[in-house]
Amino acid sequence: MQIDPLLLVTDIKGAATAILGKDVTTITGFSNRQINGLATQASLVATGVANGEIAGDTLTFFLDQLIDLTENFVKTMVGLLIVTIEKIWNAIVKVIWSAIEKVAGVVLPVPNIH
Amino acid sequence: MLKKTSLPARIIAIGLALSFAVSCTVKLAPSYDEKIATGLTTALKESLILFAALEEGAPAESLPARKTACNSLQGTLEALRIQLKARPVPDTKYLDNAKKLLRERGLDAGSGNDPTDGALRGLLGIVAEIKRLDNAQGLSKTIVAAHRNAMILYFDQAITYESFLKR
Repeated sequence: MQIDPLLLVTDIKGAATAILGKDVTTITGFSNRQINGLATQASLVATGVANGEIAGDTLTFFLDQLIDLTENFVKTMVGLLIVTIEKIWNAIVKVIWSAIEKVAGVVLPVPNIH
Repeated sequence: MLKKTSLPARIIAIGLALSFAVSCTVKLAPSYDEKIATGLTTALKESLILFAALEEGAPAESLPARKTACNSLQGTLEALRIQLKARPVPDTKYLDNAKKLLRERGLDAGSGNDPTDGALRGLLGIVAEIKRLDNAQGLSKTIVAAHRNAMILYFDQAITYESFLKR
């Protein structure tokens, strides 16, 4: 009994695509909300500056905050992508392990380094 | 390529496979914590209630009530930051590899790992600023709108990330 490499590749692609499809929707939605929100924030600050309501220390606060909001948006995106990478990595391992199990004829516990 | 053979040979093959696979499944992100997720929802509700009151205006006579609401929200957010610090962090070796992969593709998270902590820090900054302005010059409509929008963005970051950890 042998492992069919072509079938294994198909199974791996299937596992990865299933995860990516769902996660990409969530991540894209989040990204769109954040980008629109940041644009709104910039516009509100500009309005406040134009009508004199935002100046001095208050303006400094809002400008620093815009940088912080953007940096944390990127940090969150990286966090979401890392979770997706983890899910795909582990799904691929399970597909490979299952293929080895079928050939070995025994149930193998998937080792992990959690 | 593995063939069906004798039991000892199979055991040797399994041993070999296990020794090669010593770093199989990994954990690159923290585990989902229901208490943190619930805590964020509570904090969001408190924030929205505060801003609903602010949008109606911020007269001097209701300053003590707003101070109490701000202090309560501050306490909730600081408690969440402490809970976060107690959360176990995954092995950084594999996390660093994943981050390197993303950096090479133009996504640099910079130093510091937890986006939820970054969001909570930002939210605490908003509460402090509202308290400062309320005591000093008052809170205009535009300033309230800007703080509310920033608050929603920070909560979106934290809540989206924490929900995503449920896997």
